[in-house]
Amino acid sequence: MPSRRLDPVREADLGDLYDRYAPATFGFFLRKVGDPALAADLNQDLYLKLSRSLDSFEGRCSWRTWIFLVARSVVAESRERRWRDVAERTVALDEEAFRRDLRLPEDADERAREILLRIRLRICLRRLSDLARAVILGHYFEGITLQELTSRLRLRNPSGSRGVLLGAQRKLRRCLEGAGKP
Amino acid sequence: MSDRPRFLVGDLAGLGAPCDHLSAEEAEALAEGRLAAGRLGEIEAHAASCPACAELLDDLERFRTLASRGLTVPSERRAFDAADAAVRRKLRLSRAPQSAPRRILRAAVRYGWLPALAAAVLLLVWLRPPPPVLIASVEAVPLEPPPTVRGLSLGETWDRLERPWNAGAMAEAARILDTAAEEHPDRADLLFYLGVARLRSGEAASAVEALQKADRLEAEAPSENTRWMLAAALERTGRIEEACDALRSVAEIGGARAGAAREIVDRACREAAPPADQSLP
Repeated sequence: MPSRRLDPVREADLGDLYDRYAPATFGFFLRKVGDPALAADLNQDLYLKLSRSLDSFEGRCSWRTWIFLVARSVVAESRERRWRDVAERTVALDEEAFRRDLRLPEDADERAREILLRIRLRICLRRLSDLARAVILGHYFEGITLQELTSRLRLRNPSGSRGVLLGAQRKLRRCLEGAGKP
Repeated sequence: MSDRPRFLVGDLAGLGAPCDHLSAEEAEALAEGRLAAGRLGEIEAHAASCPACAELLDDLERFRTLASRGLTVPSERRAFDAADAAVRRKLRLSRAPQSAPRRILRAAVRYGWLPALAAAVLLLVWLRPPPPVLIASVEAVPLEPPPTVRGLSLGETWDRLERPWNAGAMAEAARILDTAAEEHPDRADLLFYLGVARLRSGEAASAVEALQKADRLEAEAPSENTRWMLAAALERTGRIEEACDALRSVAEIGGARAGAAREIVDRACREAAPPADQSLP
């Protein structure tokens, strides 16, 4: 992968950038959203966006950093579009089921419990892909059945939302047990 | 329901207000690795209670790894390749992607490195591991579902695996097993089948990795099948001495493969044997 900087004036064209970074940006999107089709769409959006702003790149940072920052904004915009309609709604956590399924120990005091719920949970949820996060949110916060989630999220994998939930539980448990560390 | 902790959907979904702890310039310096160590420590400490900053650090780490190593997970690479042509068409990138050898050749022509490149190629051909002589071919292994299926997803894994496995579609089988092994990292059987699938689809290095993990999980009761396949995988990556060691341990286990393992060790592993053995009568 790239080790030298592209000369911003002479060498940069979209083809070069795509050849060098498209697999990495695709992998980045895939881990962020959890769905290969959506990751491919986001990757396309990214390079369309880059092609439009190629002339404005000033060379203040490396191409890699620039692409990383634009890729993050592409994820944020996509997330914003998908959650806009329900973002202001409040939901309640089924804490009992959540603790039981994730095999989380009871915290000794109220303060620790509060930190877990209000801070670590939000941090650890962000470490999941959007798809895994949506399944956790639907299952433990909104009480939607896994069958319904499979249908609403249009999951085509054989194990549907149950497979996504199992993977998400494992990652969340590891993150929560590690006090928010990866 | 009323006493349950309540959250905003947008907040849980990762929308929320962006963190103003880091300016755009600082985020850029962080990504460039130009941030002072003290400041980096402050940001890391702050990230323990700030989801936005924690996500930025995670993303950065993830992207750095991907940009330096590329897509190393085979299923992700295949997903990228499947979408690549359509994206290229949409972006009107007519130039076909250049493979690494073509890129190297172009650079060699441009910078006058052709003689050095030719010498390097000859050296690589000379150093290339010889065809397998210890375990010449890896036989098809029958798929044996676990006697008790723990958890629904694993049962489904076996159902999905049966068709490609029995049809010899090892790349597809490896893909299914890859996901399952990630979900159940403590299952030696999944890792064993994953190793066999990778080995039979020509991915010897990653087969070694899976089989070594399976072997570690079976430390209390080593399996001759795991070690036999590990020996085959090690041989195909050029690690002959380690392959011979694995075969010696197969002989020691004393199961159905012991005779064959002993015969190979006697025939082909003599040079790799420890010096003490040579002095024995």
